[in-house]
Amino acid sequence: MDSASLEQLLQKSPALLWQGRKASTQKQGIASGFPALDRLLPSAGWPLACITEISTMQCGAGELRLLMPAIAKLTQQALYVVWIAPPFIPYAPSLSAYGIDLRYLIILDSIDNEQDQYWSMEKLLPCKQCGMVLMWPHSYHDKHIRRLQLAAEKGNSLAILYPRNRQQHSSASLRLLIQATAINQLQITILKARGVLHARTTTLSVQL
Amino acid sequence: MTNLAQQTQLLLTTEKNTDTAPAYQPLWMCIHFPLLSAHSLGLTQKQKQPFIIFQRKSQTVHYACPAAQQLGIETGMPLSQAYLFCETMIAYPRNKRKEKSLIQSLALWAKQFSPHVSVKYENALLLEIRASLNLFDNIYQLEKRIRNGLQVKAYPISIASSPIPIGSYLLARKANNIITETRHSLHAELGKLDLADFLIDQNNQDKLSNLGITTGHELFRLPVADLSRRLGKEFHTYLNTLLGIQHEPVNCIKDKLSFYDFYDFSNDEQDFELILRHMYQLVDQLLHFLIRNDLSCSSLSFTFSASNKASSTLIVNTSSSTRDKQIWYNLIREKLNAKKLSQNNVYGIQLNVSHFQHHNYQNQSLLHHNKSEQSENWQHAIDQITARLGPNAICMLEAKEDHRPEFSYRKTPYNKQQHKPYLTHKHTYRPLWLLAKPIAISRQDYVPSKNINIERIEDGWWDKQAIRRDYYIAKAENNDLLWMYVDLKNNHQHFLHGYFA
Repeated sequence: MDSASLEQLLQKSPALLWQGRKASTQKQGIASGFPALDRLLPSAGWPLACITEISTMQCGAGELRLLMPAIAKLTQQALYVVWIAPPFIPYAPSLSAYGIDLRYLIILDSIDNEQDQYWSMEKLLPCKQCGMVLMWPHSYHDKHIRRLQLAAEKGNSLAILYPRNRQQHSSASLRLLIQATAINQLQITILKARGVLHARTTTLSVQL
Repeated sequence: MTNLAQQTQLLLTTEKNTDTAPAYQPLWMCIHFPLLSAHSLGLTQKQKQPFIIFQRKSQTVHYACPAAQQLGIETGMPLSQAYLFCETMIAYPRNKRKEKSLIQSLALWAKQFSPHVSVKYENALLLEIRASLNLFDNIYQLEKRIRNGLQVKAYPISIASSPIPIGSYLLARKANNIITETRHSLHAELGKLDLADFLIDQNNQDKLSNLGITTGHELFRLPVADLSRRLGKEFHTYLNTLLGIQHEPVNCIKDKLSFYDFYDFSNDEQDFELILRHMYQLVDQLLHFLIRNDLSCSSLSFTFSASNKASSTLIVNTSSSTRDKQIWYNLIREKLNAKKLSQNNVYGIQLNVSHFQHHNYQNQSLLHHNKSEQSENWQHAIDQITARLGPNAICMLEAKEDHRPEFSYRKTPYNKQQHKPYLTHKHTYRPLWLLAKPIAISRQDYVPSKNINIERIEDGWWDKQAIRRDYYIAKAENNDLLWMYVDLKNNHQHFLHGYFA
């Protein structure tokens, strides 16, 4: 096989062939709206068809503001964004002010059973009309993550987990740790990302 | 002087000699349900203990099960006499209302074979099938379909077909599987019946017996004028109708388009998978009905009945009408799971659908998945979640023009056809998380390190829910950004109302 045909094969089916760190840089992503963060992420944005885990020790660190530009972009493209079991009431005027089209924001907040929460996420992720699903689980196992990973791959959608209790280990493709260092200042540490060998940290300015 | 047989022959000859194109000749199929009264009460012949069904008014036996018949109990016997034959038999009063309800439901089911279905005669259905013969190839195929359909439901039946409705009914009551497509052959078959098999009142039956008449052949040989004089004009009309000399009016059920099908288990069932399988079979029947009528539907109504007369209903809805089998299967499974049916016994399942829409055909792209296909996937996922978690599980948010934070948003049920204008509120400092109930903060426990942008919200005097608050953003020790306020109406108490997440 000559190099031209090998290159052709790699371009044709990148997911089927492991390509080391190069593969992850070729992955599709949605721009986060923060150039510094995009430069840090292997997919140059929030990775599609992957599970992203965002850990934070607080409720008001800015963990949601980080996603607002991406959510606004998706809803404006008529793609649904679903929030499963949010810990508090998502405040509609504020969301609207961030540019989110509320007609494409769905809330599943009356599901007490965690199995049902995972089941719902798994059902929604493969839908082509679903752009992003966010969930706030109390706990999870690798089995859950693997199932969600397959569902996200099927729909090429964004799956975000905000674990309420920080997990030591997780098979999520991308793991971020967020800490507020000052007002409107976030320190983001990439704990794990495909194609990234060492933890990377950046500090972002996230306006209210 | 002519007799009835000669009159019939004359009529047939006239029909043959007519030069004009043959008129539409109706063909009536009668399906007789001999055990309808027992089935309406949920009784089957498999029951070991002898039982009878009695007429409440006359206190006579209406139906005796085979075990009771073996003991000598017969239909028409006084109830007290029946007890002499078997003291331990169970006697159920006949319930005509239930019988009527059952035969009506069977009539709805039979509408898949003919649009003209009548319940004119007791325990029987009349179907005008001449026009249906082309659809089902021939009468034998049609009869086979009907028998198979009712066999699944464990209903013993007898079927007869003839050009005269009452002729079909009399033949079906007496014998099984008789097809007489001409009046002549019907006449011959009716002649074989005993006098008691005709629907003749007891008085006239006695008079004919006294004349030595015992069969149909003997009856038809009698002179018409003589019969009219002796037995009255009504009897004469009855015989004319029976032989097709006089037209018999039949009222067919003319309800709006609906689908009904059911399945009865022989015992109370608790097995989830078995119940589900039979529900799927009912859905399959529905889908055949939908395809035949070029329709789709968005709501199925299942009724589960138990032998202890308790019944429950399961409604399965989709947000858009469909006839996709897999979508219905998934929704039914989720809904049945959520219903926790295992706590109850199920004796029978009924499926009723009364609202339909014309099926919406969509052009399929050969190369790419189109938008409507994507939309269908999304709707199906939403329908599944609704089926499993209930209709209130999914909601949307709406921003409202109100300064009070508690009243400036609203949760609305999910509606795919929401056409609200896209609102952009320019509230610069509003948190993303709002607490359902503000938390009182004691100044000793919590001291915000920095206060910025104090905003007074004073509103709601018109609806007796007035507030007077000074909102401010506070930074906690761990750098969390909090949305807090001082309640000016409540002793200047500080409250936490949201997080700038």
